Amino acid sequence: MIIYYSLIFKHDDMRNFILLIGFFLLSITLAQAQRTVKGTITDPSGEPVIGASVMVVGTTVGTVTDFNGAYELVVPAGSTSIQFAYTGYQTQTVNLGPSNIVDASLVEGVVLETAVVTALGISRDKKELGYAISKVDGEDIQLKGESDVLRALQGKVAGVNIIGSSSQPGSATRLTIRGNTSFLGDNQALYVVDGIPFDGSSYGASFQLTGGGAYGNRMADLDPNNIESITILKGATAAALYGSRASRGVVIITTKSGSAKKRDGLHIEISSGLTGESIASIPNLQNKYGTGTGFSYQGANGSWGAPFPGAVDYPTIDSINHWFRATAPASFARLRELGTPGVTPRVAYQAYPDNVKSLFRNGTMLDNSVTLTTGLGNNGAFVATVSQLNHDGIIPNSSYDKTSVSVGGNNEFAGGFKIGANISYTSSLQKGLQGGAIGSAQTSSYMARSLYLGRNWDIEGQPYEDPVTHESIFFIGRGNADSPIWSAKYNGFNSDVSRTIVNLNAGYAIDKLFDIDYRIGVNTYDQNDLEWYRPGSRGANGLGQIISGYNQFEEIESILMLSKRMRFNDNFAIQARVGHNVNQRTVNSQNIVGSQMLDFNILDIDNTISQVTGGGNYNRQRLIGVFGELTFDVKSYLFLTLTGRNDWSSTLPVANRSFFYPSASLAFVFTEALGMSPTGFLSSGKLRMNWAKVGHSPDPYSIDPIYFVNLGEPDNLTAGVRDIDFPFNGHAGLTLENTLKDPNLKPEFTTNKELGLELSFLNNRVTVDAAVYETVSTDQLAPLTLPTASGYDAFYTNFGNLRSRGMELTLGLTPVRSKDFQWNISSAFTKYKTTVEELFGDVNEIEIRALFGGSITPVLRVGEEYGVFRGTVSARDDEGNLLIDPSNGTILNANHEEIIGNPNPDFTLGIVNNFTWKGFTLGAVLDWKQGGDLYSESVNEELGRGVLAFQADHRELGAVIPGVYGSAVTLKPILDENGNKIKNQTLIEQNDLWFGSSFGANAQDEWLVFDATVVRLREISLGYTIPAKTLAHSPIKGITFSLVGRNLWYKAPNFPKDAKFDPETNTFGDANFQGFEFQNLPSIRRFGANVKLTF
Amino acid sequence: MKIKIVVLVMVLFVVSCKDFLDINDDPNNPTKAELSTILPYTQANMFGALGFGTAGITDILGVYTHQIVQRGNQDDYKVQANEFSLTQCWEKLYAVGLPDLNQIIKQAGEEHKPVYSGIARALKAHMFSVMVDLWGNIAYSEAGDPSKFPFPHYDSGEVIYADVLTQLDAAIADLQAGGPRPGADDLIYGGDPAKWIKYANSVKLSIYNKLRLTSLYNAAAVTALLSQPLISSVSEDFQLRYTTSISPENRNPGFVREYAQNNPQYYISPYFYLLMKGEQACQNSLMVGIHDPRIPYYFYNQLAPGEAAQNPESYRDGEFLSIWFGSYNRDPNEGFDQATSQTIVGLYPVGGAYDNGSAVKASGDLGLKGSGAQRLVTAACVDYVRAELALTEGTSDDARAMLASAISKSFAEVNAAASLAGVNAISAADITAYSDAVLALFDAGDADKKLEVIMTQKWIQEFGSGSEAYCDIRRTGYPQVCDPAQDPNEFSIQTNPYPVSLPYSGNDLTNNGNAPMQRNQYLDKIFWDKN
Repeated sequence: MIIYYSLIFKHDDMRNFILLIGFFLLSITLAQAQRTVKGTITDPSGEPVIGASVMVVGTTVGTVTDFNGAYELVVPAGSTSIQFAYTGYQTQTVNLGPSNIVDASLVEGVVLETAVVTALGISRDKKELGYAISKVDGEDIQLKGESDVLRALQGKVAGVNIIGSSSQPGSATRLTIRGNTSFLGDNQALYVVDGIPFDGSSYGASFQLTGGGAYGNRMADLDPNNIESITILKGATAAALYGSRASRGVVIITTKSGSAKKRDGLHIEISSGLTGESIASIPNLQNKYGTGTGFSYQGANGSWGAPFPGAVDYPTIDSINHWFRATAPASFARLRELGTPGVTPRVAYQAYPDNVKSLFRNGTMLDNSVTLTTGLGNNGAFVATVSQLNHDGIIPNSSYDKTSVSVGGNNEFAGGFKIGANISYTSSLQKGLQGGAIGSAQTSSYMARSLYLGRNWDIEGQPYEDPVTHESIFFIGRGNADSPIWSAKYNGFNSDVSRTIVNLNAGYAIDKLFDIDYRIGVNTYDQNDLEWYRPGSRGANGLGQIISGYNQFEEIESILMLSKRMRFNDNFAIQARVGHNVNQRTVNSQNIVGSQMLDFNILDIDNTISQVTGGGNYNRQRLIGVFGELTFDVKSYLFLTLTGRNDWSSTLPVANRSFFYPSASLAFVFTEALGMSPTGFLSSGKLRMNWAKVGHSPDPYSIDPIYFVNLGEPDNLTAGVRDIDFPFNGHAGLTLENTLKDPNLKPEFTTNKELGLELSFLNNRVTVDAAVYETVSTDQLAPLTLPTASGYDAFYTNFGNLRSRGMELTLGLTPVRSKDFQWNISSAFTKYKTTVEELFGDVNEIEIRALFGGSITPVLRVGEEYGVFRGTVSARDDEGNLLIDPSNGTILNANHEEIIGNPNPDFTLGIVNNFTWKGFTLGAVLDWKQGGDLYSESVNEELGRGVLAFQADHRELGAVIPGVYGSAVTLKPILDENGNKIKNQTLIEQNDLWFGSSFGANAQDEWLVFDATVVRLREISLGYTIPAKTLAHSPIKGITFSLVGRNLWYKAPNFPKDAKFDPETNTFGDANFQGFEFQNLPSIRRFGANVKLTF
Repeated sequence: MKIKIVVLVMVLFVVSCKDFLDINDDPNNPTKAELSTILPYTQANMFGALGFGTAGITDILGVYTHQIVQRGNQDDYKVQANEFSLTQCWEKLYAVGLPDLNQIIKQAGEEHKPVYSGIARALKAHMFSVMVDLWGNIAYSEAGDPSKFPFPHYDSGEVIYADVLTQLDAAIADLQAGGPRPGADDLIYGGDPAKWIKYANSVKLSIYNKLRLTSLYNAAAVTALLSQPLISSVSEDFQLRYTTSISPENRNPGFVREYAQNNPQYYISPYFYLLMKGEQACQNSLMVGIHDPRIPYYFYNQLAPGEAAQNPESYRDGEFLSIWFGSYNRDPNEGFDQATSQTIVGLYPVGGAYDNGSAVKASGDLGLKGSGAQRLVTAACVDYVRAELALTEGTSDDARAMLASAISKSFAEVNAAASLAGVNAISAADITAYSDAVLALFDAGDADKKLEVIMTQKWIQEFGSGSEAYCDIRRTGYPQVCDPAQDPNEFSIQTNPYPVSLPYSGNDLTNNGNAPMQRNQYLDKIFWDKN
């Protein structure tokens, strides 16, 4: 081994490992040989327990019991105990004696899952762990009316924050664990599937602010039907062996195909779910006033016009010219030919109360899956899963279809060899709508007007397309918006992804106490995107545009691990591991923008007149790591685990390439140490504490200054608005990038401290798992925002300090536990705060992303929480009174910006109730997110367009904004002759109140940020399993039916009345800047019916 | 035996660590670039920053100079520190233009290509002089050197102006040094050092003119300059001609904004229109009776005679449709969509369409299809400067002759655009008639009126050309700007004073402890503004 490492590494780097390796060499002693153990598991009534888990403690070796409750297991050398577990029963650990027959009778009870998968796939007894870990079984997320694995976890795990970006099928979901650890880098958890990192990042041909759709992130490629279990390692300590990316926490996913368990005969499981979805809420709209201004009708956007006949007690109009008279002059003549020649059509002036509702259809989701499990040889197993999902969204032409095939198997051979492999392939096609902020040039969002249609717009049954040119026609001009019906039909995007994961693992017991395991995996995807605006759209200058983009990703991971177990006597044991890890990640992407479509119907970039590239990227990074872990087990109640890892990263300067980081964790089962009886009031109690430091290396190519080749102008980089592009008139143009590079970059470090307590009372009827933690990231690798007057926008260097402090509490209760009826409550409370403690010198703020080059911007500011919003504010006097413009009664604008919002919730609480009665189960997930702000353009527009129901109340009365008169020049109050401020008494129309730069549209940013507190009934499911006895004589072994409802009710009390807005949304997918809503799809509600058959 | 196998397996994993990890060079983006590829980028960047378009400063200044009207903060003189076109102009000049220009100067020195460094020095000097004109005190001596000055102090406008003049001399010396020349990579003058020298001298002259009322004015230097080569014909204009290419987008950004997106952003100021039409414009009666034949080259009417507009009209005169300054969110009719009805910027300023009365609706297919020039310094402009200097400082030029020459060149500019577009030129007779009428006005006026005539003519000529007209209004008070109280629209109103400078880009102040306080745009004058 020394030869091996010295071949790879320089002598200096050896220091940190000599100790660990020495331990290894010392520890080779004799022990028992491996053997085969068998037995039968029964319940208290003597019935066999089918499918109980049997694990060799301290290993990944395990199986499940067969139909007769029997099992057979090859127990590796050195193992001393086996553990039996089954849901609803207490887990039993049995020490191995001389006999090779081990039977067990399980006792009913609420049971803490004990054997858990930890870092690098190492299975350990939960009580040994000195850090927080949560486990969710595959069943808890399957057939729950949610095809997105991450969203199905919402409300179920403490310490985890999950936000779905959109109701668009297949759209991205962001999962962070315990807040943010990186200024501008990836803050999402590391996903590991079957031991190999699984890239979950998102990519899309366009940035959604100015167009493009709600693309997915690549976690969507996971097939939920193939998931065996999900384990969440929350702190850096838990994950320190994984290296850099683990400081953000790790989500370990074990698939069925990656963990095939030996079974006799052929087992087939078929599950099928049909789910319907519909828009969860539509604003309460007023139906009293039509479009126009000043109580008179016009073909305008805002519903501030004449009242409808009968709506008020004064005279009004009863008919109007047909709308296309005003907005579609080119088409008008052609359209009019459809009516009576020479007659300008008139239509009744009336409200269309359901016009918004009519734009949303009911969606469906069909999820089918077959899993086949069988034995392979004497000691092997084989699993195959085939799944298909067909999801049609609430808007025409939005869908997500996914087909997944996974196969896996493993076998153990005489002589200590074992080998396993699995392959999974997922092919998906997401079809969606063009999105984007409506204010942005050249976007054609389906949602541009959809939630605040003019109240007199009879959108159903009206033409939306010029019969000759196909161009969009709508109640307002094409420069304003496309008809949403036209937009859904003719604009859109496709994202076609194929993902392949190949995973090979092999193990070998070198001698009786010494295992070697090797795993290599390749995880790769190809994403091909197509985005289009048809000619005649507001988008792409009305000429038609097709963007064709690809993104190829490949990750190769190799892990070699040597493990050694030693038990010196009854009181002291050691487990040691050392390993070697090589990782390579490659990204290759390019977009081709084709302008001016020729044929209206052909969505191929060949059908465009000219093509340019934009946004291409290639990068490759490599990392080599060596690591070691030592666990000391004292009397089976005190466990100390030490880890160390050294990485060599290709992305750092050569001199700083190598970095080391350690961790330590302690678990102390004090109830056992004190000899307390597990049947007493306090059944068990454990204290855990840990500390870890994890290093990060920068993104590739962050050291040398480069030139951009043929870029558009710089606004192209910030807001995506094209000015001019290169080549210009055939000449190439190169420009120095605007980021200054630091040639002496160092790794960034995240340090994590955690203290936790696990208690269980009254035979596990009450369980408590509490943790407090602190995470500090120092020497952050990020672009420091420089004043542009320096000549650069940013300086990529090490700086600053980010601190997260938080707590999480998981409380389990079993109020009722009887033979037939059981009620379990599990609640997860999460509270944390991530604060920017320090940036760099005078810099007190950096921008996370410049959105529109000004206006509301997500920033990191010293002393503030992560990602707060900076934006424009209204002018106020020293007492906080609004300053009112005496010339028109509206609010004056301040000439500075302030922090106006914080997207981070104060806390989240999820409560899961489960009732079981005989074969019935009833589950409900309720969650509550307190605080956290959202900037909402949809609500802004609803207010500005005057469509909300409350805006029709007392509209004729006008309003006076509370405040004092101020001077637009000095932004100070105007004083009367006595030197007193003058109270505003200028009456303004409601129209000006909501549209005239005070509130609503055209207001300063501060008025468009709302507290996103929301309480939600996220999930209710009702299931029934036909008793096994009823099916005893049929070929069917089990039938389970279930009904599920999602997002059945929510309340966001701090959004404007009647908006009925669901704040759980984010335009920018899984990006670091959260809390922005630019015309997103409204949230949806689902009802589903599922059946699962087992043969 | 088993141990031996293990060692063997492990050896298979051994790789040369160093080579394996030495992959951190970006294969797609170079660390070195040819001068001939940096120069065109920085030129286009500068025109983008100062011209029309969503991200050019003329977007704001066009309203401040009452040539266009926009619905937004520009209306009623209240741009904010985060105004998109303002922050983008600042960013383009400082973060994009400056490092590239510095790199050209440095690299041209190393490669012994003084013509390149001369061009870059001249562009840099011009750029900073414009920034002083807009923002007064700005980062200069510590700008563009972030490893030394990540948080630059600001210098006074006066100090910067003085140094800019020296830098222009250095630029001229470089341009005279000979050596390899750029070719077509110089998008403006095709690598002709003589034209660049004319440009540098013309910028100098314009700077001295702005210094007229300050102690920095140097009569001897002006006299010397007048004998130096200056931009004197249309072919020597400091302008960037865009192309018709949509992809890559090479079209005039102002054209894209007005024609290509079905949603024109610029209304023509009725004040500008009426004044050119020879009618009373707000309070201004200077040009009454003198009809300007440039109107159909400047403005494009989408309406046919008698055609109803899409929506109720705010201001309409025949086929001309617009909204008034100071009416944003006040006039009930100003906010309606008039995308296919409003009059838009025409052929001359952005490469749009000549108005032949066809009333074809705006589209990317009209006129020069975007291949119009963005002008920043024209031959006509130089002559107007000379006329002003002759009138006020008694230089060797004849003010009247210079005005006549300037008017003649102004029309030559328009006719050059007409020729490109293949449309009728303005006839010599029309030009003479107009010129004579203006000169008669000049002859009849006192010194102040003469200055007003010069500045008003210069303002008409500079439609869409950056910051010069905004400087003239602040320096001389001419041309008069529309007082909304005097226009015929009852809803338009002016509540803020005329802005004497722009606010600094807000983001820049946030992160620079060495930066001064935000400017008060109504009170903090530029040093040369002695009115």
